[in-house]
Amino acid sequence: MNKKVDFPINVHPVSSELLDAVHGFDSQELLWLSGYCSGLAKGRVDSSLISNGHSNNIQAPTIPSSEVALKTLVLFASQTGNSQKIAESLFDRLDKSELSVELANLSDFNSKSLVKYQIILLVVSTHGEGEPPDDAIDFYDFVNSKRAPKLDHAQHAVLGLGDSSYEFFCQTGKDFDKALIKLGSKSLLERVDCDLEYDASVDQWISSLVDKTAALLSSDRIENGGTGSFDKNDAQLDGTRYSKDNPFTASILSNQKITGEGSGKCIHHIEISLENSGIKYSPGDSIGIWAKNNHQLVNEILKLSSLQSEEVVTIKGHSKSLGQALLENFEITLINKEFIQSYSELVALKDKKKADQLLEITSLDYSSYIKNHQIIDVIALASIPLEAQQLADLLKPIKPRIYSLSSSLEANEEEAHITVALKESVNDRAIRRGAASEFLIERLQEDDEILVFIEPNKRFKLPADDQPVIMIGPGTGIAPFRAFLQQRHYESAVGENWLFFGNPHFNTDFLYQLELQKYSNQGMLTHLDLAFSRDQNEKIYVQDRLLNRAAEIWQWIDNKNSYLYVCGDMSRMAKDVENALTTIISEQGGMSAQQAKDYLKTLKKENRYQRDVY
Amino acid sequence: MSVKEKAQAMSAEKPVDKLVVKSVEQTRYDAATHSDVEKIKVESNYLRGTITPSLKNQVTGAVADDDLMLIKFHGIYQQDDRDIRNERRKQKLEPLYSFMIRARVPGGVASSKQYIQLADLATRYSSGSLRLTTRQAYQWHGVFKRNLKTTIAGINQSMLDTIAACGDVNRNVMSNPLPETSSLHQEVYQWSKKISEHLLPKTKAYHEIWLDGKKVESTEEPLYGETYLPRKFKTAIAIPPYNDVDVYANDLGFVAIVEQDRLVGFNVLVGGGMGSSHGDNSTYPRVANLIGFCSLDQVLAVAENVVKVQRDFGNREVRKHARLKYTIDRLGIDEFKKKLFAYQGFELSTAKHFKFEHNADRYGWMQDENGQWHLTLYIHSGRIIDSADSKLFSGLLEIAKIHDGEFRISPNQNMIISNIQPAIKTEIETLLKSHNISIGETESPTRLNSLACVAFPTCSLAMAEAERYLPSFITKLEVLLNTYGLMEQPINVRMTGCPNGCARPFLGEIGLVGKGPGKYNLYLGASHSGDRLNKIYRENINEQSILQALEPIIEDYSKARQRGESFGDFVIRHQYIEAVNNGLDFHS
Repeated sequence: MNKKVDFPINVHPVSSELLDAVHGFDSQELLWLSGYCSGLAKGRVDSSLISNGHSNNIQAPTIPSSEVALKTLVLFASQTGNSQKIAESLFDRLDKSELSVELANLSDFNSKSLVKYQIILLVVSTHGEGEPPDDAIDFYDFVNSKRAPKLDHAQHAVLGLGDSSYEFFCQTGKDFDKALIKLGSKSLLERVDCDLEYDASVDQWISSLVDKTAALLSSDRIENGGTGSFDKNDAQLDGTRYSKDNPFTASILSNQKITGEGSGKCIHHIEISLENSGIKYSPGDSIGIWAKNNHQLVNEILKLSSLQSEEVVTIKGHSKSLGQALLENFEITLINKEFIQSYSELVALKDKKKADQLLEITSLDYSSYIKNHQIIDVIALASIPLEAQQLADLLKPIKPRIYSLSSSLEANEEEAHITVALKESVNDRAIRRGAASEFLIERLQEDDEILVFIEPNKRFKLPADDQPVIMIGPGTGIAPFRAFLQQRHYESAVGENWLFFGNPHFNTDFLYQLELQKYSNQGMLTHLDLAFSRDQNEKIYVQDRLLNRAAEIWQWIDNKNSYLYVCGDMSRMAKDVENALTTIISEQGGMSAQQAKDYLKTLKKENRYQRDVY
Repeated sequence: MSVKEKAQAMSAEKPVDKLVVKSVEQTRYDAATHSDVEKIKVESNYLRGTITPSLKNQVTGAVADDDLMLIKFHGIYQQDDRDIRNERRKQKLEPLYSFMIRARVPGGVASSKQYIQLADLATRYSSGSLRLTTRQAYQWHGVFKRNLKTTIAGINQSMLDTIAACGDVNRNVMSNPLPETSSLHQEVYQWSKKISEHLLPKTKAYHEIWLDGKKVESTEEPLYGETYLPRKFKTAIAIPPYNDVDVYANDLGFVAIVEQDRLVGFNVLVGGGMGSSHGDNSTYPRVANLIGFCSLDQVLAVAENVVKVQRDFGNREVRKHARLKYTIDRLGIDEFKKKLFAYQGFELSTAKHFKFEHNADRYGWMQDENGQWHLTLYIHSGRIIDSADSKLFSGLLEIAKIHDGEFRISPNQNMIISNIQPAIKTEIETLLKSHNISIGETESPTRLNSLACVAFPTCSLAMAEAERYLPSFITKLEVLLNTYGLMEQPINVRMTGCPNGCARPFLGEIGLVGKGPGKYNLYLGASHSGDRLNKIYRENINEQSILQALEPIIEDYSKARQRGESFGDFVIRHQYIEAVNNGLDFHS
């Protein structure tokens, strides 16, 4: 099964054109077709076995042994197209052998799948002062990072392209060779550094590789009887033992800002390692995170209350220093009414007038007050010296923050991804930041540890593979839909996908733009409708885009039995979107407003209208 | 009788040669051998391609790959901010794509009213600056796809356009801005307009796409055919003794011949060009050949037929060998002339005598024979922008509002405010002062003679800095010149980020061509008047090494130069470098 591969490494045994054709079928047609094909396949297998003289020994067709044993990958990074041409001719040569060969452009290659291959062949040029070409940068960073896998089972060869008039001639090729060796891979062939005139050395390199791999193939058969396998020894781990009260200590794989320079929003994509936890989740689920409070904020509260960090408090019968408890155990940002009441009572003991003032200020417009103020702002309204235990008793225990997962576990083994926006509000004293978003975005770095658990969400799940879905997720509301799309891509699901996304600016706020573009170009994302509210004079939001596509949306809902999903801001977006959907149903379906609302309710009951709003 | 008919008529009357003129047949696309770009052109339906769907696609700020080549014919280049390309990749964002739009301005002349409109577009849709090019065009940088159509429509409303500002066609026709003699300038400028219009593509695609013109089923390109030219084609007109336009660096050059104060015709030059590729000796810059003289009634026929010969005989297989200069070196200049004369149906007469003195601008105020004033302003790298030091952009806009003459772009990327009525001279001087705009009185002659291309961060070809780096390099060079008492000596310094030659680096007495970040090839030995190429002196060196390499030569020059000897001539006489007399010597 040798195939040229595009992003991501794709293992369909049939062409994408054929798959595309099948996508147009309805479920009945597909069922019929699957029966037809399986019958056909059976016939073919049998007859081929017979023709090979194995008629007495009928067995299920097996995958050729070499395929399991010697998975080979040809990688290239091309700026000018030279390395692509070389990689392609190498691929064509190897493809004629019995090796299982895949060809991939580094810009499209999922670095994490590197571990699946036993022979890694890399053609790469060098730029400027010894830097990798743009397409290779991510992979370059990956193989040189702590996330890079052990490659003890692998062998590799590198062909570097360069210009010897530069000081760092073929530096990138050299770097990759070194990095792969460091990861445990053995050198299949000595690295070749090519100058501007490279035709002869390239031909030589390719021929040597053809010979080398052929030799490997035959020795592999003898040694392993063709059953050589390098699959990770997956000990059965039980992830279900982890919970809110018994969280898993995960580590951070990467923490990357994904809004561009000049954006008014600070949104991060954070990848968390669940390695060796056995934790399972499915798209639509959320992850709970125990955040640590901000050190500086703790110090400010201590100062306002004339307390020392070392003073000891008792929490549920355990003694702990106040400073540590404020960092880990108490909710010290979100205001609640009980806190205001109890604190004002303490203040009243010393200064009745101040206590009344405090109550007046906070209750004037309580709901808007708590939006941009935190506990410390209440304390600052009337700060008084407190006993350590008094402060501890005033505060509620910290709660975990819940984030919709933006990854599919199957597409990202042992990883959980989240999409976090820095929550910031400004009041007359300071800029206040959300405890968890500040913790995640500002303080967590690669390799840092973090306590997590899965919060399943049974009410936000993908339908059957062949059902179409309409996903509406502006801002960080895109998170679960990234997971949906990853999952559907992983499963080669045939159902159509339509995503509505919005944010202020196209240039800086198009979250996961590169990924969505790829899904879009592959045709997996049938439609991608975008609303960038601030790029033109009039503001445009996702609900406006929905109304723009009313007829087609109605067709998807009514004819195609599409599922509808909404994720994101509850107070405004979800309401506006629901109104837009009601309008569409009413106008396109010829219903009264009430009928349209009932229709939407029915959809909800049938699980065809699911929301994850907050 | 149109010029074309005239040429044909002449051809019928007077067959010069037995050579059978090969017709447009030869431009037929050959999939087996022709380059990918030829395929894109032939399949584009006269430059339409998928530009309209590309503009509507909201998922990307770029256009489709095949349209990248086609939009150039419409005067547009797609670029991206290379400073943040890698950062954005990590952010899972595509590169920050934007577009450079170039307006075709024959002779670089725009009215005040037009200038105001162009500047207004810059404020609204681009990075708030206008850039003057070394080919007398205006450029807007950083226009996002969603604003492209509006911006181009705005340029057309000013009665300028962007068609054929780039692409494989004849581009903006340059002419000497010549503030000294207004009547002669006017006459030559009219010729640059006529040539430019005569060689324009005729496709209706431009109007359809950008101006919502009516869709026309098919259009014809009587001159270009469906594959247009094999490569870009540049034309310039020079008026001796000034060679501001660097006429030798053009595919087609005309040198104005004036007899008894009357323009009588032009000497014709063919086959100049700057572009080359590092490490590829089959590519080289080349100065044009002088092939004869044509009278005024022959000018358009000559221009048209040089284009036709290049159309039919240019290399369509290898793009980097496609410019006219390679066609001429492949055919030989005599064979080329033979073909040209057969195409146009008449021979050129013997070239007339002329002499160039220099190719630099003459800064400051100047009064012409009619008493009108002309002011040449030094504009660093052609960038009209408001900075902390100088409010150049706002200042020029204020001047445009009170000035009813013209704005002329010089080929050295400077701005000449032309035909200023004596009555408002003082008012303009006041505006210059209040906006802190230099008229080139304080800069050294070497700084005033320096040129740089755009390079980083927007040019996709750049390997090293140019526009952003040149000022500080000149400052360091000035230290050397000052040490050896050469501050008053003008030396042409040309710096580009790559070897494609936008700032004509191979005609710099000191040429610096980017090789990598902070690294340049150093070229020496071009003439001060722009009629001799330079040659590589040191390869791939940094600033310190460049200055170290130059210092002993500058010292020697200060001591041993002859009266009036330019730096470029001196380095050859003192054998620092060999003279390059034609392009094929460039690498030898």
